[in-house]
Amino acid sequence: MKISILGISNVTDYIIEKIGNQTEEILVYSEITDFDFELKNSSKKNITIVVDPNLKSNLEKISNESNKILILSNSDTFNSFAYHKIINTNESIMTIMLIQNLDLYEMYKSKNCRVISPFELEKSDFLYIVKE
Amino acid sequence: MYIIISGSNNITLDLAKKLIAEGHEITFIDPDKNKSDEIEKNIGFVSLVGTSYNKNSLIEAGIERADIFVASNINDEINFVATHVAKNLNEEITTINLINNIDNKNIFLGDEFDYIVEFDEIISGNLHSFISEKSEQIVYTNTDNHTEIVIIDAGKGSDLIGKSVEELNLPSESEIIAIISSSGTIEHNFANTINPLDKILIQIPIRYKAND
Repeated sequence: MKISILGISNVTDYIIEKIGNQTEEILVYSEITDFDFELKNSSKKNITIVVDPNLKSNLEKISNESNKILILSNSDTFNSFAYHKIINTNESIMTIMLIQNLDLYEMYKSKNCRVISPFELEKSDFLYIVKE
Repeated sequence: MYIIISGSNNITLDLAKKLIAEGHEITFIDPDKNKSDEIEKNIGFVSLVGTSYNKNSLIEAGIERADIFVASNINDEINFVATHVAKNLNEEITTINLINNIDNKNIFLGDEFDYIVEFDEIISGNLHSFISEKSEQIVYTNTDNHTEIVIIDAGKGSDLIGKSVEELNLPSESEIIAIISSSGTIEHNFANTINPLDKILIQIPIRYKAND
């Protein structure tokens, strides 16, 4: 199973810690190089970091090549936009977005979007991402 | 009407001036304090420093009583999310979105997006109208009655094609003299629609251009 993660944030670290050992392949896409993240993860065989300055233009291609997509950048607007763009292209693929603003999080949750908040990380072990 | 505009730029400033002149109430939301100060200085109405996808900023701007929300930032992501929040706070509001990148058009099609305006379409439309003007040719100017005779070439792809004479939106006091088909037939019966390569012979007042 190939899981693609878009964006590097504290939540990216957190989720990789939770599901990293349960997944065959994780591709982490970022528009810029994050040296701390690379240092921490470059030795892990199942994790590939892809720096793609044109990430926004390649969402469709990424969604076509992934089994599951987690959108975890620090930008709520990017996450929401990418989520809806991917869902619009490929409704069947499991897509989850991180939303840090609580009002936005509640709004998207009420619209039945698959959304996670940094304030609720402790409530889940995120293994459902792998199992579902 | 009460209109909230997210994003200040040349387009929205010009729009705001026109709307105020028509008696509408406007509030701008922009995160840039300098832009906000400039709006206050030049146009003199309320401008709010804030983020347009932030619920509190929209509530402070009066989104619940607003009639129209215009999302016209240069960033499609901000326009997209701001419109979601605006519609979520006021289901009755009419939303208008500027799309900067045409590749993003397909996701601005949900219930939240009442009207979308494509930046590329505006530019190409304007360019097309300039190019179309080149196909006009003044053949005679009558300074006594201040009219000129103009030939408009419909060409192969002009937006005139398929329109009836009534739909041509000519200036008042204009008169169509003849329509010359590509085969050379001169038509004085204007019941038919304009065909590709037709040439339209029109008398118009001098002060107008033919497609004004």
